[in-house]
Amino acid sequence: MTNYVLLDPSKHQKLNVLPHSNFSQSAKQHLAAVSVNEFANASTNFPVVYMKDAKVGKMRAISMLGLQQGINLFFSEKEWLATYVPATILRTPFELGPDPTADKTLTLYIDEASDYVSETDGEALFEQQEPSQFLQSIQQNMAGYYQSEMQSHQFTELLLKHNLLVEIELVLQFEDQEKNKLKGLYTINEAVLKALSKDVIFELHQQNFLMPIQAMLASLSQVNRLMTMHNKSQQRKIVGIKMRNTQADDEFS
Amino acid sequence: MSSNIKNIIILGGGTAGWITAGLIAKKHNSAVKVTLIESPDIATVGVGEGTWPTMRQTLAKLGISETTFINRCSATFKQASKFVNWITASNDVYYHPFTEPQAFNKFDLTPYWQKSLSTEQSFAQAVTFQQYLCEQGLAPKSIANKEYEVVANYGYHLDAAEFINLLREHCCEQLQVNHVKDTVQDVKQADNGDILSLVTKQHGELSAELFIDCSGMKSILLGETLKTPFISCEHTFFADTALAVQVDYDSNDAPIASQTISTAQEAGWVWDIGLQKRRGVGYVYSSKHSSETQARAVLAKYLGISKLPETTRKISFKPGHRAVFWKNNCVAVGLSAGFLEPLEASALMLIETSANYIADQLTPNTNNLAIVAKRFNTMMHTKWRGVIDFLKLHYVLGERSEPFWQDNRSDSSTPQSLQELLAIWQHRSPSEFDFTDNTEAFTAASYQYILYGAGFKTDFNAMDYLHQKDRVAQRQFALNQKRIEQLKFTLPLHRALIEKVESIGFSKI
Repeated sequence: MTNYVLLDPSKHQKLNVLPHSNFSQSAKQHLAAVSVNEFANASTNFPVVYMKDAKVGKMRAISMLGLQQGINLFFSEKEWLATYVPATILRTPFELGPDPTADKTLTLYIDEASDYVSETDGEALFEQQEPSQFLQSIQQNMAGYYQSEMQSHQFTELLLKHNLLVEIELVLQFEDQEKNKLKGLYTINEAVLKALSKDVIFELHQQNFLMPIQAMLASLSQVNRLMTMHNKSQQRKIVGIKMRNTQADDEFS
Repeated sequence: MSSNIKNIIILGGGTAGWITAGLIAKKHNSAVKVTLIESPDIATVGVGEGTWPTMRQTLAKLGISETTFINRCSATFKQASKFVNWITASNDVYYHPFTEPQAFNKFDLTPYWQKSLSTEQSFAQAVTFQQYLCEQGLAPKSIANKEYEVVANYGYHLDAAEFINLLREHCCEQLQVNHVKDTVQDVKQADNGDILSLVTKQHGELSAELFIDCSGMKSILLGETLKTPFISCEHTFFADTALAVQVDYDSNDAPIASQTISTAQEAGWVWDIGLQKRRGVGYVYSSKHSSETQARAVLAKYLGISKLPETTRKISFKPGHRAVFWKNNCVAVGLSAGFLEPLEASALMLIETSANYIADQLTPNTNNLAIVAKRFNTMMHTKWRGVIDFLKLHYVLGERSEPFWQDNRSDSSTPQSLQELLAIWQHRSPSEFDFTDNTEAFTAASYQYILYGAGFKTDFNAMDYLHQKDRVAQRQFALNQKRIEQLKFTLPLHRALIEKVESIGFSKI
């Protein structure tokens, strides 16, 4: 459970934050949100796809860390099993949230329930009511994160505007004949991408958005890596994964 | 004497007229000019505020966004019909959900439910999660689902007047339907009866190769001009009058029902339909079994008020349909073809079916029109027979003692085809082979819901060897319960979803 609250100098005066060790907070996390500037690194490890937020139906990019709810295949007690750690995991126990004193402004929140929060060990957040050097560096990181979120938003809007997202589903075939469908995943529609006009391609290129588009497509083969890792660590083996385009009938209408 | 079909004229600007105009124009725009003539001095009846799930495909086909439709038409989601007091008049309830029974057409759960579960759970509770969704006020999907995507099967409740406005705008602006507002004064015919043109007051003579009569109960072209006889269903359905009112919700955040609630009364039944900002409520009754004063008192009592508002509308109708629906070069869609009481909301479904059929079967010239007409009539007769049997089924199963209900249960009022089905179902449940014609209005699933919802007992014992797979059945019942457990945490409240559709909208992908 998490409990994010507004970071408050008077309330959190004595709070310390422990350094990250093995990212154990993500052990049961099979998805991690990613910003567009992370696509290149993320795609060399994880499938990068879009999913809809269940509450407001908004599209957001995510890395798939596992194939089943509650299992992060890249977490192990000893070491992180990938060459990249999504920024959202690195940010723990901090997040950006709405500033109650200023409209449309984001500010720093801290997860009071996090294992990284301590009153005795770790880096102090405040020194005599003033932000410590540690906290200042966090604040700087968060400013960068805010920028990349804005960019991600633009990227997503462009994908939607040009109809570049297409829904796919992954059908997991288990050794005991059971099948499990992962639905509601979206990737780049290659046919639409190929048919884009010069102008649109140029627009995407100018914004540096062609690379993340290609990264998303290339990252789909990481599904095989997930299967291999799943079969190494889990009892119930997966014997095959089929990727299906669920909108295949659209061309007939 | 063949001519190319270049012009189609639709007479009447109600729901039937615009849906038909839209579906034909969408498909044949490039070759056929579709003109809709609407008389400025005739008000539309605005049939039906309830639709079938088929409306999703119809709207998608027309190219109307679901978000736009819901916001413009004050529309809500309809997942079922709920029948109250139809059996014994002692707060009895049963559901006809839009989702088919668990394992439908693969494994019949009916005998197992009757044998082991019927004392604890109603049929609909045991075989589908949808009654639960309705009772808990949950929506059939969430905002994360795309337009027209389904978690639990659904149709809509809608504001008929606003729906017509949206359809008109869409047809004229997006689909190039030619809208003529004028009064038709005369109909010109060829010697063989074919309609040649409609003579209008201000636009002169408008001719076409095919005419579609959507003129409502007057049935100006098929009935008045082509003299197609009307087949009355008064001997089967006694209701002939409706009192309709609109009522506000108690508060802005009152729950919205996602089922049409039909409550049986002494001489008919009350419909109760929840739209976004108001409810539409009405009493359909038999004027032979109740005076208007009595009927007004019944509706007022249902609403918990002492006197009905001034705005209460009274609508009289004659249940029945034309002997044929397509004659010469004229086909009727909507009330001009026929009308039955609004139980199970079949009016809009019949409009959708007819319009889709015409759009699909349109020929390039008039050569084969007679063949299409013949086939259309066969198809529509099957539909009407199915609707009549199914609606009547609701009436024959109860035990209410008022004269209206006793008359309804008499053999003389029950179609032979329904009597035969009821005889067969003495020893087995409704199956897909009872309804092999794919144009049947209702499937065996619907018959099962009504039959066993209303307490009909099939004697499965005579063929007990067919029902020995208890473990399979238990697993299917368990799967349904598991589905409930999943959905109750993932689906939002109905009103909450409607508010999100307004503020965010469904995405296209």
